[in-house]
Amino acid sequence: MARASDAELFFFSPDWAPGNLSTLAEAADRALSESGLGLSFQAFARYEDLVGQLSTARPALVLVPGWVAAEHGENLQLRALLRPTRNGRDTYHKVLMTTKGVSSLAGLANATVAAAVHPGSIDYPASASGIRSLVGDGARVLPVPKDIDALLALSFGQVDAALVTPAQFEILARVNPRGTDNLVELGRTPEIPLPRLYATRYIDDDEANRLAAGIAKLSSSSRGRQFINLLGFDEVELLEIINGEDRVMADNTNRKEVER
Amino acid sequence: MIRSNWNKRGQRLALLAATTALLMAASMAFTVGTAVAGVIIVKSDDLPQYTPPATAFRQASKRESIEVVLRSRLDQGDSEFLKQAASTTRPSAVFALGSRAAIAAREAFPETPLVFAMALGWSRNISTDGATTGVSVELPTADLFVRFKLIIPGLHRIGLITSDSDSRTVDEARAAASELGLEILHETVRHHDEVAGAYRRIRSRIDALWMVPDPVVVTRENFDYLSTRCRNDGVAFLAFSENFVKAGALLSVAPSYSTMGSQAALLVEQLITDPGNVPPVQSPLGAKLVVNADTAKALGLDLNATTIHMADRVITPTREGF
Amino acid sequence: MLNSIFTPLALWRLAFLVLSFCAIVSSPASAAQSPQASVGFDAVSELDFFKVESDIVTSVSRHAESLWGAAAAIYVVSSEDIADSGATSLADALRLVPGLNVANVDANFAAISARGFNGVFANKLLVLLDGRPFYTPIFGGTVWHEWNTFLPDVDRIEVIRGPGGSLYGANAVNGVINIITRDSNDTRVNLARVSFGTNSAATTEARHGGRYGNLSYRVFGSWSTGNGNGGNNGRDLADEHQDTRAGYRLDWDLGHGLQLVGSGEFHDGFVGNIARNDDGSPAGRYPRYSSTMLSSVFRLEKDFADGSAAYFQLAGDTVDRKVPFMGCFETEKDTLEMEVQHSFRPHPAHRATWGANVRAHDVHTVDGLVVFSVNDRRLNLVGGFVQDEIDLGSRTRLTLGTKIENNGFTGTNFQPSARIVHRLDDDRTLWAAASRAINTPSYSEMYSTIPLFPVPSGIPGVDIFPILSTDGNAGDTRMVSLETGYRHRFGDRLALDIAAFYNDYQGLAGWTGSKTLPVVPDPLDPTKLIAVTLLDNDENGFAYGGEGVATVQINERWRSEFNVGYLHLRSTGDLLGLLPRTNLSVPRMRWNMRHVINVNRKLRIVPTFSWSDSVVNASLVSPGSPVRLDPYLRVDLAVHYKPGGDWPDLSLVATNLADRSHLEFVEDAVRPATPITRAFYLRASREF
Repeated sequence: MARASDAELFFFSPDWAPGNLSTLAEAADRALSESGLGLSFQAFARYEDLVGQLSTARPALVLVPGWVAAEHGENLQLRALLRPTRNGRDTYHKVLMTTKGVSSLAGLANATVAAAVHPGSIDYPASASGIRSLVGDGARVLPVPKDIDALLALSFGQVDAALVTPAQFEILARVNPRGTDNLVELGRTPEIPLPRLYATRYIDDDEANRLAAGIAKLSSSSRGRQFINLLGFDEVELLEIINGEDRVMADNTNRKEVER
Repeated sequence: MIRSNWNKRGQRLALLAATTALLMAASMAFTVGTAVAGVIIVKSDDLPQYTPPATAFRQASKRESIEVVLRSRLDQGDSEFLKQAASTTRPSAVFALGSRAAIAAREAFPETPLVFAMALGWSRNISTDGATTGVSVELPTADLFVRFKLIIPGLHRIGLITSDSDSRTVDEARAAASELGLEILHETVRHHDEVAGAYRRIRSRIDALWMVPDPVVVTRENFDYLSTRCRNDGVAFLAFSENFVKAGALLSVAPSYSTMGSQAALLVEQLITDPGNVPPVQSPLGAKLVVNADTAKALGLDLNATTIHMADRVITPTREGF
Repeated sequence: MLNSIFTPLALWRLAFLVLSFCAIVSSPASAAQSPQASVGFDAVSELDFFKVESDIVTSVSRHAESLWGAAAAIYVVSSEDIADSGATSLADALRLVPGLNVANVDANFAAISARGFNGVFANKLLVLLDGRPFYTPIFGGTVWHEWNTFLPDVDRIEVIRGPGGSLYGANAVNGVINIITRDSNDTRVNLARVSFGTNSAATTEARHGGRYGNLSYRVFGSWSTGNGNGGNNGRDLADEHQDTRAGYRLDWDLGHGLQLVGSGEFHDGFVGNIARNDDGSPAGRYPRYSSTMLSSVFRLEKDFADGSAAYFQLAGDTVDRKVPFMGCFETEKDTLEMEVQHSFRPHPAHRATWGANVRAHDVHTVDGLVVFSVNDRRLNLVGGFVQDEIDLGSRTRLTLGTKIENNGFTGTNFQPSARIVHRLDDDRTLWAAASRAINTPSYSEMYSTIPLFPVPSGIPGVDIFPILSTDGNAGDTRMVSLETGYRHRFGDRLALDIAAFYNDYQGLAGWTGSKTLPVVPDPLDPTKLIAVTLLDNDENGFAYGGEGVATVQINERWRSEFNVGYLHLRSTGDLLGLLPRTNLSVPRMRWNMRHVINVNRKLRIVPTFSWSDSVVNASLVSPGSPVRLDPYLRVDLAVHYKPGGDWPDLSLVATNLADRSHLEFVEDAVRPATPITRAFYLRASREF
């Protein structure tokens, strides 16, 4: 249980299915209380909820995708602290899967494409823009809760294409090789940065650096590692020590990681 | 302090009065005005399960809609009740939640496009003649089995108990199982009190028991029995609703009720814009996977981060204590 | 005296019971589904289905769910209830049951009955442990302390108030208590418990459970000792006890629906005993009451593919007890019983069950002050039953059945019953039943002779010694019972269960004086006069009353249960009591209130408040002059703490907090009661 005086870390990543955040929150509770950092964790399923809380709850740290950081970087004076990685990379992409009969993107001009987007929310993660960049505006996006739903809908012939992460496809292929034999990759999105940890204007640099260093060390304990894994990462890397003069405006995390 | 409370109370009363007035004005606008074109959302009952698809439908559809909940009345049939309740609307389509709503809607508005959802065994009760289509409650069996295998990699033999009348489920299960290298051990019951015996006949030969939404099989008593026995016999209990997982089943894969609403909105649009081309009844496209970590632990299953990522919800282990 | 049974008031009550049932069944509420029927499919099933999905984890009284539709006054004590209460004996666990009269006569002996006729030798309640009866043919009842099974392994106790004779046979007259232990698959964990308390009470208990392939098993052992209510009124150590107990259960899945269940128990122990002076007043210590018991049951169960099920059961026990009441007599009993049962569906709307059983008791007695005219006898009992559960539509079920039984004393008897239950909707159930039940004579009622304390004859220096005796011609007690009940769930927070009954008894066994022999000099001592009265079946009676249970989920952490029982019992009486007697040995009104409060995840507090109306009883000490027990309030408190980790669970249990001591039962016919004192115990338990 967080102390009243704990600094708060907000987490939002639309790749996380809404509803499963309680497991993450419990893992965070265990890991952070063990670390003694004096940090509490709050995860958001909906972008609107995050936006609503950013100004009122004044979080010290946020762990959010680049497009969210770009949206609020100036207002919150965000400075990047940690760079998470998965499979040694700090970016990921999604692939457009379809069936063997479709040989080009033109064949999907008016297709129904299943993708994990959330129609009730104004956040459109990379998948939505990815679909449009790949198959144009004529595609009908059929929102499903998760990548696996999109893949299964495709493998059972209920949609024409699915935009998913390659890892999800590989997992499905292991379980159901016959069902995935007929699926092919037709294209892929540009690299999408993983969420990063930023300090906000509600915390000074020294304290931010202390917390960042503590979070980077979480992986050394089993509880901490479980927490990091549940966030969707393998490792977290400390970026650079920031001094009070240098602010990182995180409008594009690919462009500049640290500015002095 | 008294003054402060009084002020708060006064504010609340004023707010209440204003809200009431607004609601009354809105309802009068509806009743006094001419009939408005829109979609009627008909619910068979005021069950909480009907709310997510109705909400998702409204979010995904740009059309006006009103909502009608069927009530049991001695002096009036469902279709008459529906006609009366929707008298202010010229329905361009009906979205019916539940078989009862679908049947009543077809009787009340025989020429209007109808899309149904949440209808158990819809093919037995709902005619798809005319502009009628819908989203079934049942996920494709192969879809389910793939999801089971994602969580239980060692799954090989699945026990299945159904009532006499449910041979279609069994046929589909056998077909899907053979695709995935699984085996189905099926037992038939004619009455809900035969379920315990049916389970005992197969329990030593199965890795998992799949409970399907069969009204004969699924009763509170049977659930309690199967849940306890499966856990202690080392059998994975696979259910179809989150509440069963909360109560001890290993996992559930349930159709996403809200995704059904989104699907239904697309279908309504198709029916209105192209009434001559009626799409077939669809399977639900989204599913909600819920896992009980406590039961998983009791069964010796490893719930790693990948597995947890696949779940929409993980019911956390029972903490020590009461 | 029969007139008292068929008074206009009694007939009105009967008519009311029947009419109220009919009225509710035909009420508009029961027809509320008709519009759904008009749409041509079973919409109820679909809605039911989604409701089950919603309700499955939110029900207010889940432990009673399986019995929600039963056509009988049934209450279930769950294993959690037992643990919560801190009960250390079956009798204490049964205190939670509405309408059940549970009274501690002393620290060891309990008097338990349903709907009247309570006493240490109560003989109208059938008690079963995993299907084998806790039954002694000596007096036709249960010696509770001998059967205090290993409570942590009790899965549930199902208590039926009212007759169960059509299924269970003779002596299930006023109730059936079915104690069901946990499947050994559910106890594959070791357990150790120790407890210490006031009056030198100490208990150690251990269980080991495991599994080999499809065979799961557990073995348990316990040892306990204590001085009971020692220290009261100079009766030091008279309530002492010592128990050694061991047992097992195995569940073997033989595949294809065939399974073998075996369980058994060994008990050896003694309890203290209080002697009387010649005037009947307590004098000191008798030799201890000691007993040794060994029992076992094996049941082979088969679930057939067509949904039918059958079992064959073989049960046996041997009991050897030395009973130093008023001197000393000894009894031995060996029992062997075979039973088969088969249930099947001859038609989709019918579920038929039939069964047969053969039981043989070998009884051997050694005379003490209680003398038996027959000291060795085999008692055979052969019985069979048939029952048909008939679905009258989707919401109504009629159950018809009868038991036919032949016993060595009174020949063949029939015990039919008809029960109907109607589900008004998901939350309301109404039931009614009419039954006939039989109480067959016990060994004592056929063969015993009990000398009473002397009374002055009027001739200086010469006392009359009354003797209660038997002539081997005792007959059956016959009861006809009418019952009705109603259950109602109000959302997730409140559930009500009420029942009402009217019982008519004919031929109660007792000494009414209709068979009194002339006063004659004692052939062995001509200076004494003896007056012999023989047991007869000339007493009749009736009883009516009701029980109610309200279960309230106040919030997520606090659940309360309130139950109340009312009983009016009246009989034509016998020489030992009033003539006629009213509510003999049972209170007219009782209530219990129990709260289960989870203060936090680790701490649970369970206070229980029980109130009992005054009780009047007969006494051998002063025949014809009833003794009276004042009303009492009993307050018990159990505090359970689960620290988690490797620490053991701790329980602190305090009983009888409302006063220093009180009597819960009046002087029984043969056994003096001792006041129940305030007591505490601390228990530590750990599973590993």
